[in-house]
Amino acid sequence: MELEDIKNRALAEIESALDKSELDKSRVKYLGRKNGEITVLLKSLPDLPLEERRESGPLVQRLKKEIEEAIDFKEKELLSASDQEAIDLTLPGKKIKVGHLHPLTQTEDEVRRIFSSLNFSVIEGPEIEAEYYNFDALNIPENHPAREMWDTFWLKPTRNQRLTTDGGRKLLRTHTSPVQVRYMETHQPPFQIIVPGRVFRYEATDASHEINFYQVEGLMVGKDVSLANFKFIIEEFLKKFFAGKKIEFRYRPSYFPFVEPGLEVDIRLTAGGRQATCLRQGYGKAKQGTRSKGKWLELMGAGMVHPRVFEAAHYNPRDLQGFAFGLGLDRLAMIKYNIPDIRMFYSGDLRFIEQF
Amino acid sequence: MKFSYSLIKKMVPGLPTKKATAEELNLKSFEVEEVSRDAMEIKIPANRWADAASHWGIAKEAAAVFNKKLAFRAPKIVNLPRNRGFLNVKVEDSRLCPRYLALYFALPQKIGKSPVWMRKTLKACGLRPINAVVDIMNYVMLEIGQPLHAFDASKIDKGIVVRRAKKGEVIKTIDDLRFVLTKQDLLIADHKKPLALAGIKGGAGSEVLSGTKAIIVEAANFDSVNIYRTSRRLNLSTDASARFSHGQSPELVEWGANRAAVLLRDICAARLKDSVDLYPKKQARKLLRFDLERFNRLTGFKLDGKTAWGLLKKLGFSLIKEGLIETPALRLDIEIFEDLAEEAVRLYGFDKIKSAPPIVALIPGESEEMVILKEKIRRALISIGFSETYNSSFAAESDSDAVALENPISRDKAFLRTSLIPGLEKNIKDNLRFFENIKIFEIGKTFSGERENWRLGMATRLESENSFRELKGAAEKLLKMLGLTDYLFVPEDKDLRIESSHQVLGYLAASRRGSALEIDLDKLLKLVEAEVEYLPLSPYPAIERDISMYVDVNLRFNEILEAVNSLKIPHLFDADLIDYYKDENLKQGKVSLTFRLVFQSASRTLKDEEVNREVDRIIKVLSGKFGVKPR
Repeated sequence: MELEDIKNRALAEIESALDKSELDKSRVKYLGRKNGEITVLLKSLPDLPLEERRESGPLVQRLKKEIEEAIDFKEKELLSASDQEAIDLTLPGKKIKVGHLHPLTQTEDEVRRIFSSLNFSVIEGPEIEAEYYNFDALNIPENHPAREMWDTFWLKPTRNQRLTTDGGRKLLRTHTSPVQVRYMETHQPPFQIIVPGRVFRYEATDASHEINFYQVEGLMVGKDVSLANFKFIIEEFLKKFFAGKKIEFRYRPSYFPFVEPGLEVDIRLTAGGRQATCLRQGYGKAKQGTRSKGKWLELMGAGMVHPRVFEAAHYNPRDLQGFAFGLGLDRLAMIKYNIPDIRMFYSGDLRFIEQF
Repeated sequence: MKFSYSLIKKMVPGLPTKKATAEELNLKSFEVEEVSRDAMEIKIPANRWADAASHWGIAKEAAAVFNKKLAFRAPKIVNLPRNRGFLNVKVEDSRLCPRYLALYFALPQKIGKSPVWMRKTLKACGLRPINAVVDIMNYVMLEIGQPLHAFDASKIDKGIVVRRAKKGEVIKTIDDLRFVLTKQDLLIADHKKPLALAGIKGGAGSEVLSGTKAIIVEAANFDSVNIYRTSRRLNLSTDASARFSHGQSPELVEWGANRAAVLLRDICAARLKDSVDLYPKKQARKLLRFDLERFNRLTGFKLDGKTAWGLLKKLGFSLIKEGLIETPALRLDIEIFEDLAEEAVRLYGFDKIKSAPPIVALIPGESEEMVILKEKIRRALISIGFSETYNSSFAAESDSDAVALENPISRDKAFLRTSLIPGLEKNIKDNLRFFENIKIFEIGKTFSGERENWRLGMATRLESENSFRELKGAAEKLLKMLGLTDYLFVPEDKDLRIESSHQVLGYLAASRRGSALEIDLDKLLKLVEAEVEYLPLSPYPAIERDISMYVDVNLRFNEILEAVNSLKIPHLFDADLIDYYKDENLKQGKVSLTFRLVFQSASRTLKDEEVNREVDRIIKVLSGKFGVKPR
């Protein structure tokens, strides 16, 4: 009790010292060689019974050290305070060097954050994919021009590849949609997931096309998950993602073999939103965005999961409904940050990356 | 696909302006882009070519969308002459050619140009007018959707045979290209020679010229897969092959033939002498159940039956009885209930669906462990000054395990990357023009023997400091931040092997100018599950002692550290290198090292004398063992 009392008193006095002479007074008062309070306490220690001595010895030592440190600290503080007139307060702050996350990472983080808040789980899938998962299981027929919506990089078969047991030829996934079937094969509804990841298209590179880019797949399945639910989820997501801007939505019919009905979502941003004139790389074949003058931006393909996709996952389509969507992450980032050229993401140019 | 707005408007007279038509079709049917003057570019989805890749098809859509009357009707011909003996047609495999309709016309006059309105439409749709007969064939394809072909009847030997090509058989097309065929390819031939590549292109020698006196018009249906394969293999794509590849209805054949007959009569005064129609297996009627309750559940609408069926009726579907719908013959895309649902919902308008929050069991969402690990690594690395780059997954050949592409886009991208380091090294090189100090990382997949693997790559290149030590320190900091404490850096040749729990996590390649490392995240993930645990703080003061010494340049820091550790010095809490330098004033072959030794006890305040005693012991051992000289 007594120690605690001394401690509080001493520290308060030291802290409130206005100059060095006041501080020196405190020093003498507590640590003075003859009559300092702590010194006196230390001197009295040998008179105490052994047990008590053992107990309070270290405590007094520690308190002494604490007071010493407090005095030293205050001394330095007073010293530097007296220097203050010499500091040029208009000097610029030092440039503090920190690392920067890539804008696509930041965009993906934001997408994951919003969907996590909507109770979606985050799943990933392989970038090397079997033809079966990329196409057949998604109701994209072989030997039909529909498959040409996805320009594909094929892998050379390796010596020990088992063609028959492994779902056919290998390719670089052209979309994140194969993860729909992969996930459903091992999970039972109801669930809602998003699948961010890198995808690949065999096409010429330009300001709006890259041979590798990013998508986020979404899939929600349950007994009565409807198109109206899709609208709710996607509008909630986009409103949060483009917070601070006024956003309008437009839905158009579209065709993706793994959804029925299939549709496309456009948005129009106003207020503070400069119009981005970049292009779409979502579901389907990426295409030149000629609608920049109309202000509507194509954002994603979507629809209700096709019963054949449920069947491929060994679900009974009679009992289930769900929606799926595919969002171009690069496209989203280009709109958000007003980036004119998709290739900048893959340039490794730190002058670009460190802006974010 | 290009369309003529004025032709569509002729078929649906009530349509608004071209712009308004385009806008509404865009929202209810297909993506439309306005093109110059009369032409409209409409993107026909791959499943709608059978019914919509024609002006008639678009007109049907537009009539439904704008709720207007369709003025155009598919023509019927009464008293069609049939099997009079002018034609001799044989189809060898009706699976490859489900329907073959041939018409024989006598042409009493020389074939001239087609009329101006026809040529205008052809041009608006990007086709070149040739002569009246050929133009009519093309026009009917654009108008009705059925590809047609006209042969000069006098050039045909005995009759027409639809057969597979013989292996190695050669056909020369009208534009004088030669194609060598296989048994998979389907030919239109006479008894001596090939006349046309079925469904793709006509052959040289039987084309219609201005002096042709009699023609045979072919309206046929071919197996889509077969045409698609041949067209792909020969790399020969035409308006006809594109249509057949997508799949056409054999019912369309007749409408196309009839329309051609009317136009040939009106424009060329052609006289229809004979016809043959080989159509052994008629396309079946398709009936589907339309369950209103299910429709509303799928879409979230609350439509009544009258409204829903009314929508389908507008698109040409017929209600057989309540809930049972018959699909129009050309709508090959309609196969299941969901297809019907799409028709109704899109015509009604997606925008009319009221958004509604899903009602689901509240099961918490989760992220896969790798997703979480990657996020932790990224946060940790930016906090210690590393910036993130993304590089291409493609690379030039690197090692023998690299995965090769069947169809690379260029030679320097013929393989998949086996390591992230070349990309990071290139980033450093590219950025040196603008930055003196570079610290970067990338997280991405690498590929080896078809296995893919999450990796972390880090690279440093510092002007003023030691890149290697910076990188090694960053790696240690990172591993600690991730909760991995028992890692080792083991020299292997010129690199450092990063190990933990007897597993190789990766390698660090060192050089003073620029260093790089790569860590296998799939392995790391299994090791970092350990939680960070609180260590009690000692209430007693720590005592620090710095020892500086000259050591031989070849002496490894680690050897010194191990020697110190092996002494098992009591209360030695930490031993760390705080200064390392080599300068010209020092003796050759020597470097100066400064260690900081930190002593602390958890149970008492250490005395200066005991600490000094231990420091002396360390110095003595080091000088004895390595001949180091304290400064």
